[in-house]
Amino acid sequence: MKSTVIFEEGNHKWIIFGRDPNKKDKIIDTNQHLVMAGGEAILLDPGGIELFAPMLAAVVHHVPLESIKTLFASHQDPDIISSLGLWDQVLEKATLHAPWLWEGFIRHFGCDQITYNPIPDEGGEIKIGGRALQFVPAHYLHASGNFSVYDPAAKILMSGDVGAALIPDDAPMFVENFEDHIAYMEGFHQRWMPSNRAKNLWVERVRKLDVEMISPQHGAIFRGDNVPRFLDWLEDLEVAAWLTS
Amino acid sequence: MTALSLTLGIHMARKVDLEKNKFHLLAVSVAADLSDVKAEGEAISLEAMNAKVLVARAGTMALGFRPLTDFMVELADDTIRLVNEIEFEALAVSLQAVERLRTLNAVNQAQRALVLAEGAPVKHIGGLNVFVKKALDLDNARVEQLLDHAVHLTSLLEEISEQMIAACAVASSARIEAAAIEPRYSASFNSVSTNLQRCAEAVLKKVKASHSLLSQALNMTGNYQ
Repeated sequence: MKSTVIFEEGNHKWIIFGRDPNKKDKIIDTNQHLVMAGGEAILLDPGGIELFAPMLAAVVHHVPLESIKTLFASHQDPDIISSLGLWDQVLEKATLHAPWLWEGFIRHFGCDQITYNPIPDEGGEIKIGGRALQFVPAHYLHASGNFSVYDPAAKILMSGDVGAALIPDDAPMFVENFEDHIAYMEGFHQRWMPSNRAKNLWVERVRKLDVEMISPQHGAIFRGDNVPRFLDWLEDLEVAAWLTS
Repeated sequence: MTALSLTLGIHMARKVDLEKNKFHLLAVSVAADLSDVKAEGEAISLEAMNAKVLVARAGTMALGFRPLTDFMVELADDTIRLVNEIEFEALAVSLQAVERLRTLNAVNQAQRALVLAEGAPVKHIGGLNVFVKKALDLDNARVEQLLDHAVHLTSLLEEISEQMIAACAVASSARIEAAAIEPRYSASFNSVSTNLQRCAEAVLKKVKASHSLLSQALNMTGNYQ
């Protein structure tokens, strides 16, 4: 599994894992995020059960297993968190932060040792090695209980399925040509996102943040000018397309 | 070679091949099959109660049937007790087997990750090795418990088989006795005897199949030792 450091400042680091060359063909490619700070680490959307072993191997290249005390799941989908039952066994005294709405569902993946911390609808904040991470509501994008994660120091927003794109296996980690990239993400957003109102509220919320990178759970990362470009594009896009087709 | 690397080497060498090992499937099948035995055990109890009512109604005309009825009631009580114990033990074996599957799956994944993590800093993979060791220790303890439950279950299955063979003998005697009773009661007593025989044979068939499955499962567990 490929790992890319997308931010590094002292011991504060963001690493993205994905583009696993051994991934089975019919499994959607996913980006897993590791945030390290002050000797602690959090895994954001740690991924599906199918890629647990390569993911675990990739993670221990960067941090000892013992330093992972925190997990985050933006929502309940299997590509986000079906590996939970395995993390539950290999991690000691870890906490999973995930939407309160999905607790009864996510626990079906296996959550005996890990403490489930339900995130309230309005979001919240946690500290990793003294660094704040904010849970930004992204409800109905696409799950009815859904959060993005914002790091104000790194100015990175891990946006979950917002900004996701179904790209070729060898595509670069960062969006290079926004206009070309639209073809990979338009259909995804039109079909998977169920609410124009929810989408526009999220855009409004994100515009108030100081964001230099938007890193989705599928596809490529938006940085620099592509961040406002993406927000404008998303605002103008009509979603829930099946209803009007 | 250090003691630590030797220990880890031993753990790595221990092949946990879940594909070939269908132990958990057999254990769950045994539990599912034996759940049917409970229904038959309850049917035996019901037939014993029927026999008791018939004897009371027939009075002096069914005196020869009374000791058989008393034995049937005793047999039914014993059967229900055994069936409950069997159900408890079968469930314990099944649950332990599923827990093993979960643990061994995690061990497999961790061992695969250890191979894929080649080149990672040694201090980073220490936690993974600790997990594998602890999980295999836990699995060994679980195998011990599982064996205890399985051995007890086997003896319970043998005990209930003997009970059911006795029940078949009682049913035969009861049929002979029924033939000697006044015709208006004879058909009812005959029906009770036939039902008792059918239930006992059904239990015997299930128990025999479960016993065989359990033996296969225990042989597989032996392969882990």
